[in-house]
Amino acid sequence: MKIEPSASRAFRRWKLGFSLIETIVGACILAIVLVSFFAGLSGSFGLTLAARENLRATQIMLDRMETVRLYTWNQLLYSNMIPATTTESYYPLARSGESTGITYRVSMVVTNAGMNPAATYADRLRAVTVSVFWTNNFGSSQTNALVRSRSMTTYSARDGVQNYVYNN
Amino acid sequence: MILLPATIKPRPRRSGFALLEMQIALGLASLVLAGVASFSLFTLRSFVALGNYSDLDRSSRNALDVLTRDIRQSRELTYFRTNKLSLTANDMSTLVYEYNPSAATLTRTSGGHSSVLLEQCDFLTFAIYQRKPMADMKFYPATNFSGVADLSIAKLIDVSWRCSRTILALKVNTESVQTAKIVIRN
Repeated sequence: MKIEPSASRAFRRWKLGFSLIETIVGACILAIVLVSFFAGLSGSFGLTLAARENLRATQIMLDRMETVRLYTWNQLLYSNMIPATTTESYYPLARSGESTGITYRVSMVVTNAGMNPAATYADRLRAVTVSVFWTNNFGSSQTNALVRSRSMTTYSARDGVQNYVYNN
Repeated sequence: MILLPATIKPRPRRSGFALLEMQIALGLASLVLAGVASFSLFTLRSFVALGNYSDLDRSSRNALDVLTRDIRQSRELTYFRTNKLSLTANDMSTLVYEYNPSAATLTRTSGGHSSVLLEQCDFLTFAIYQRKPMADMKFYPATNFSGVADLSIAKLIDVSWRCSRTILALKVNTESVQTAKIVIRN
């Protein structure tokens, strides 16, 4: 009886399992897939966190802008009722033992409204700018902190905007 | 020449696993399976958490937009509780916002039609203030001398809420907090 040598070699090869090269290539592919997956997941969480922080910053700015409507001209310009800088927390409703999250620095500036072209009512108009600053690593070392900021501007008129629109 | 009987012919070797081999293989397989299971669970929780954040942001933004538009355009505040507001809308219709703590929902009712603006809302409260500001951008509460809410002087409405979502039936920190002050533009 003659035994086919090729079949015998194939059988022996099957019994050997994977070669070192095959194992290394397989492990590398698996590592690349897993690292990419976790990087993607981590990036998604980072983006979500940034979007939530940005949303809260927008809320703080809108909150300030909304209340500006209730200030009289004199209160807006000649009183100390509007603090230049304040702080707000990400989570103002935190209960006892809960973290209030990152801290936002809020600055509010009332300046002359730059009118281009110049307008006769420019001295009765002011630009109110609210700026919010925060960093990405509250509570840890600030060495590598990435400062983020948003700002919003609105105008406030002494006699209301409509009077100027219809009288000019 | 000696002939061996057939019964004592050497039998072919029957390969299989020894007990030790089996135990090692089972141990390794258990470790690998535990790793795969925890990885799958972590991945699942992460994706659900991302979806929850997105859902919370979307619903909260929508609720705040609707609430802001309605309060700004309303003519007056006609009823106030910390969980309920009733407003006279610009078209003289009645507009009601009510938070139901047991159902954890915020409902908007207008013209006989109700819609749920917020679900799984753990906490919501309204507060009303006068138009007169104090220092540090704070406002006087809209109350009379007895400390009772006086709707006739209410100009600023403050609303705060906290909603959450669950992952695998556990309430985790996928929370969204909204707080806003809205001025009635009457």
